[in-house]
Amino acid sequence: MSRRHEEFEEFARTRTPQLYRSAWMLCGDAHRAEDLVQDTLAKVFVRWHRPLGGGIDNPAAYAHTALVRTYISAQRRRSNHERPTEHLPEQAATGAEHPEGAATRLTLAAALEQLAPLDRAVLVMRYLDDTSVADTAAALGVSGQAVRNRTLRALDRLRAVLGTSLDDLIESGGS
Amino acid sequence: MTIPDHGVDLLLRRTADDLALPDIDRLVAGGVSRGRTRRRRARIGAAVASVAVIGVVGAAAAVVPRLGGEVDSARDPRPVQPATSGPTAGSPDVAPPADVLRPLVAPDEMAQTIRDMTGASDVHEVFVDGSGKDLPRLFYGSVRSGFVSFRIRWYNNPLVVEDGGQPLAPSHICQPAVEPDCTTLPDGSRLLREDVHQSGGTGVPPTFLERSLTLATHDGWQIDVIAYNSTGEKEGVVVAPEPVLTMAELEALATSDAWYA
Repeated sequence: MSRRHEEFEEFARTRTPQLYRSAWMLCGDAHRAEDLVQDTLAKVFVRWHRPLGGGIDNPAAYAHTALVRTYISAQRRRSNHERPTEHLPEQAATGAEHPEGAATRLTLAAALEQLAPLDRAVLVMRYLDDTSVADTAAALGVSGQAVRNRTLRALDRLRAVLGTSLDDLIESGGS
Repeated sequence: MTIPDHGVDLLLRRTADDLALPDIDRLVAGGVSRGRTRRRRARIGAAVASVAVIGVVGAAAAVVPRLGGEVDSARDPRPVQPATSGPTAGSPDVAPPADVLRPLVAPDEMAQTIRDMTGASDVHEVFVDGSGKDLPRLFYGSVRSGFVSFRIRWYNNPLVVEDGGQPLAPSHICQPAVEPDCTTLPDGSRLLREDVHQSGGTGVPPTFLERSLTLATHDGWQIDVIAYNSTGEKEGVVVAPEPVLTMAELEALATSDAWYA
């Protein structure tokens, strides 16, 4: 195994947990999240091993940008894969998880499902990945003002969907 | 009551932290495997492109898909004629206005064309919720017992645009810079080939394979065609070692002018 490949695998193992968390928030279920993470790692792999000028200045940022772009592209293409039976409910909590945490997760996933893919990506980048407005705008190919507008719209939508249960969810989300 | 930003921040973080993580080594191995496949395809694509450039430059756009089909399978790479005619021809980065969208032929005629081009039996239209105004039509068919789907829809969904979303250009489906299987056709349409991969999904056996192709036409239609090696997408039995249509056949379907009145 080459040194470059070892470095990639080390990076991927370190970064994949956070990529998976972001992917889950984007996709709303474990199977699609795993698929998205693997597609993202594949793109980073190709770039990592590019023979000429293949260096990546900030691999973590590059990977997260690749993740949201891959997600949005997939959402735009996804319509043909939609079937009447496609929307299988996410599995309930496994035995190792707190039931309240699982309930929060499912409620949040249902609320996020109401958002447009780009709005969802904006929320995840801004509030889960701590990405700046400017970097979010650059990653998604929109203006900074569009990021701000989409953030407000997404928050309004979440407020409408979650209603007053938000405080309860925040309380129970990490339990 | 308004949601403070830190509330959403907390909710997202706590919920994310509560997730049970999958096997990280398995995900990394899957990513590496897909990455290697992408690199191989990129090398094949580069070699094909070189041949096309050295050959007849004017015919390059038609040659590349044919050679791609020969790489995929030795079986019946039918002549491919990318849709080069149409009301507009231009950049894949320009969103087409609604008034250039070509009208479609009747659903029955589309089903018959699918039969004629693939030899499929039992092609039928499946009801799709059209309340999004994107004019969707979905057909299922069976080719030598293998499941095939064909979908066409207007990718500039008016409801999304009315809601403040930006009109999409053909380039929205993929970017050649990061996806080696993404190409631009001479008329500005963009095409993404996704060669054989596991269908995936909950409970779907790993022997279930699919091959798919997505085309965003220059005037606003998105066509997705998928061929499987099984009798169904998620259940059924495997009937062939590979999906029942080659990439050349998928491309012939997607780029045909037969869909337009």
